[in-house]
Amino acid sequence: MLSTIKDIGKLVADTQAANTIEENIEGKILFVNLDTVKLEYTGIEILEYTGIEIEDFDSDKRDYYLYKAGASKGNAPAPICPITEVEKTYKKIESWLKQCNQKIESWLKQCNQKIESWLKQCNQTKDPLINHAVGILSQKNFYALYLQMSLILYLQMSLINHAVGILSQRREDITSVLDKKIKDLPKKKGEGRFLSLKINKKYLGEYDILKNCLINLSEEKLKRSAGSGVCSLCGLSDKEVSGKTNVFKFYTIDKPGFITGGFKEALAWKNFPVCGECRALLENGKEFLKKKLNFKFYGLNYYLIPRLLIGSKEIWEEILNIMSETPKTISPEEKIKKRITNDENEILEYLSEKKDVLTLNFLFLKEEQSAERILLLIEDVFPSRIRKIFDAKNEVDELFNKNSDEKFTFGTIRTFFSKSSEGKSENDLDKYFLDIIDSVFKGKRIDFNLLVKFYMATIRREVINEGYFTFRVKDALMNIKFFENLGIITFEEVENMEESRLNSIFNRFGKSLKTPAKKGIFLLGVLTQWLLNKQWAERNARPFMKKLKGLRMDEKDIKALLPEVQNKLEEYDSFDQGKRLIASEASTYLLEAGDNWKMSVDEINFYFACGMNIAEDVSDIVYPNNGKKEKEE
Amino acid sequence: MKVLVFDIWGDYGHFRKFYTTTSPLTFSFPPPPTIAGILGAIYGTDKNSNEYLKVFGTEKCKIALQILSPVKKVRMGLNLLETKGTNLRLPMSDKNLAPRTQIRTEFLKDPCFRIYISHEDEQVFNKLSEGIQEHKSVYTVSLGLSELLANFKYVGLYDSYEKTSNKAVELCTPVTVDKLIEDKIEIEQNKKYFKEKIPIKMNQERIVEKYEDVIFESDGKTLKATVKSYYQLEQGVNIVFF
Repeated sequence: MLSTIKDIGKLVADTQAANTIEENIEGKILFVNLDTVKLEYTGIEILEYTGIEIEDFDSDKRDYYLYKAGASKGNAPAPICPITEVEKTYKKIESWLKQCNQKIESWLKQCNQKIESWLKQCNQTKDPLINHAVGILSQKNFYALYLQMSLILYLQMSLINHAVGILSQRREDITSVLDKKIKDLPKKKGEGRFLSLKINKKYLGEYDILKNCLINLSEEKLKRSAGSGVCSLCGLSDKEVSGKTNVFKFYTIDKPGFITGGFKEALAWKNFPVCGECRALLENGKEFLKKKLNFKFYGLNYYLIPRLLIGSKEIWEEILNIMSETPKTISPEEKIKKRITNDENEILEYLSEKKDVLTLNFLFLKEEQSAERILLLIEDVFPSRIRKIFDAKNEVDELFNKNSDEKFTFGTIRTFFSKSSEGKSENDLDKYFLDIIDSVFKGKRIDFNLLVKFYMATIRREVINEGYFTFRVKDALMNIKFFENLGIITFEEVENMEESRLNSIFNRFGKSLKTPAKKGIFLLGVLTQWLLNKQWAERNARPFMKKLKGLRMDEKDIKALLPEVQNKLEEYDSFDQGKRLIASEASTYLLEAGDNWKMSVDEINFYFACGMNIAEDVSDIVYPNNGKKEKEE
Repeated sequence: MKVLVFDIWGDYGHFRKFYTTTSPLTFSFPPPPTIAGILGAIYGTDKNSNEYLKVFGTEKCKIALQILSPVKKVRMGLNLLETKGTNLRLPMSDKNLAPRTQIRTEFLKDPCFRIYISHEDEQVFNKLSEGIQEHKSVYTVSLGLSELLANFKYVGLYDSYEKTSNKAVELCTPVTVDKLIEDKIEIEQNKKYFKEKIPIKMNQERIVEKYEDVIFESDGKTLKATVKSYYQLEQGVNIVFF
C-alpha cells in the first residue's frame, strides 16, 4: 500500500498536479513583535517586546513564516502554530526558538573546535619556514573566514538568546495581550488563527540561520533512528534510511514495545527503513490522497488508493488523472442517480467501468490525537466487483424504489449500524458497519442472525416510539435483497412448496421467505396488521398491540397469536373471506413447519414485522376490487 | 533437486506488515524470513543468535509457498502491555496510563499453507525432513505470534526439475515481480489477484536485504505467468521459489 502511495507521490511530483495540491489557508496570524530599541538614558540598543501585530495569512509567504502543515501537531515546537490555548501555543514557539539557540550554539562550538584543531595542525609542522609561511597565509584566511563565521554565529545566537529571554520574562504580559486580541478578533467560519514571531520587523524565514535550523532540526529527528540499508519502498541498497517516516501515523515508534528486535529506538530503522527521497515522495503522495482521493462515508473518512497489478507509467498517469479530475466532470444530475455513498464527489460508478488491471484500496483512517488508526483496509477491489455492487443496487431499486427518488445506498445499511441506542453521543456500531462494507466489497459471507439482531433493535425502537416503522422495515428488506443479490447471505430453502396466489409478494423477498415457518409468521403479521387497522378505524386506538410483546414473541407466542387474532376479527365482525383465506394459509404453513423452528426471537419477529409492513400490498391481491376499503380501515 | 513438501495450518495467523504498529495489518501469507523462522523452530536453531536466518537463509535454502485455504482477514482487539513512559517497569506507576493498551489487530482466519523447501546442505535437509515426517519440533511452531499455535503435516519428498519457457505456465505459488518476464501475467476470470510488498531476504542482524512485490491469488488458485524459470515437481506441479 505504501509503495503505491509513494508511486502516486512520484507521479504527481513529475506532473503539474503537484502544484495544485497545496491547500489555500485562510486566517490571521498574530505576530509578537520584538524590535531593537535605543535606551533613552544610556543610548544602548537592546531587543524589546513592542506589541502584537495582526496580518492575513498569505499562502505565498509560507516560506517566510516557515509554515509547514501539521508540523506543530501535538506538543511539537514550531515557528508558527495554529492557536489552540494561547499559553500552550506560546510555549511551542518559545521552545522552538530555544532549540534553534542550542543548535546555533553547537555550530559555534564546532566552528571554534575547527579553529583550534587547525591551529594545532599548524603548530605541529616541524619545518619552521613552512610553519611560518602556512601560519601567516592561513592565519589570514582563518581570521577572515572562521572569525567572521564565528562572529556572525555569535551575533545571531545572542539575538535569538535575547528573543528567548524576552519571551520567557514577559510571558504573562504577552499572553494576556494575545488573549484579549484573540477575543476581540471577529471569527469567520473556516478561518484559522496562528501565532508567530517577528524580530526587527522581519519574518523568521528571512533569517537564513533560522531557516537552516528548521531543516537541520527535522533532519536530526530522522537521524535519531537511522542506518545504512535497503529502503523498503524503492528497494535500493546502501542508502541512508530512517525508521521515523512520520508520514502515516499508523506507524509510530513512540512506545518501546513497537520496536521489534530489542526495543531500541536507534535500531528502529531495521523495522521499516525508508530513505529520504522515498519519504518525501510518500509525503507528496499522502498530500495528494488527502486533497483528491479522500472521501466521506457516513461519518467515516476513507482514502481511495488505486493500484496497478502490472502496468506502465502511462497507464498510471491516465488513471490518476481520471481519478482526480472525474468528480468535477460528472454532471450533478448524473451524480445523484448513480451514487452509492453520501459523498458528492464519489467516483465509484465511474471506476466500475474500468478494466481489471486496476485495483482499488479503501483505507478507512481515524485520527486520534497525533496517531492514526486504521479502522479498515479493503485491499485490491476490482472494478468488476464495483460493477457487481452497482448491479445489485440497481436491482434493489428496481424492486423497491421504482417510483421513488429515494434510492438504495450504503446509507440504508448505515441506518441500522450507527448507534446502538439513541442516547449515545457517538457512533458505537462503526465496527459492524465497516465489517459489512468489507464483506460487500470482498464478497465475504455475512451472518443473517447478526443482521437481524440489529434490524429488530431499530424496528422495535420505531414501533415503541411510533416512528418510521414502515420505512425501517423496507430498509431492512432492501438490505437483505442487496446482500442476497451479491450472494453474501444465503437462506435455508424448502423445495416444492405449494404455489400460492401470494407468490408475487413472496418473490419480492427473494430466498428469505422460502420456508413454511417464515411464510406462516409473515402471513400472521399481515392478519395482525389488518386487525390493528380495524381497531384504529373503529376505536381510534390499537389495544391489540399489547399482545405483540413489543415484537419479542417466540415460537409459542406466535402459535398462540393466530387464534387470538382470528377471534378478535370475529368480534369486530370483520373476519371476511379474504381474511379467512390468509388465516387458513397462515395456519397451513405453521402446521407444515412443525415444532422447533430453530429461529431466533429476532428472526421470528422480523418476518412478523415484514408481514405487518406489507399488509397493504397483500390487500391489493386479496381484495382486488375493494382493496381500497381495507387500506382505509 | 529434492523438494520437501509439508502443510502448515492453524486457527489464526498474524504476519505483521512492517509499516504498521499502532494498527497492525497482516500479510496474507508468511514471508520467507518468517518461514525460515518456522523451519528453525522445527529444526532447533539457536534462538539468541538468529541462527535460523543463516541456516534457512535464501543463499542456502530455497523456499516456496502455496496458499491452500482462501485468505480471510478478521480484526480483533489485543490487550497489550502499555510500554509508554515509565509504564514498562512499573505498570501502575503513571496514573494517567493504564497498564494495558488495546490494539485492534488484523488476523488471518483459518490459514493453511503448503511449503516447498530445498536445501543445499544435505544434513540439514534430512534432519528437517525427519522432524517434519515424525511431527517433531524443537520449539513450538506458531503462525506469526506465539499465541497462534500451528500444526503441520508431512506431504512428501519429491524430485523437481528446473524449467524455462517463454510461454505462460500454471503456477501454484505466489510469484515475485522480478521473476516475471516483461510483467507477463494473464488475468483470468473468477480469480482474485493481489499484490503485496514483502521482505524476501533478511540477515542475521535482522536487517532486510531485499524487498519485493509479490503477486498471488487469494483463494489459492493457480496463476498463469511467464517466468524466467520455474521448478516442476515429479507429480506435475509448477512452483517458483521466492
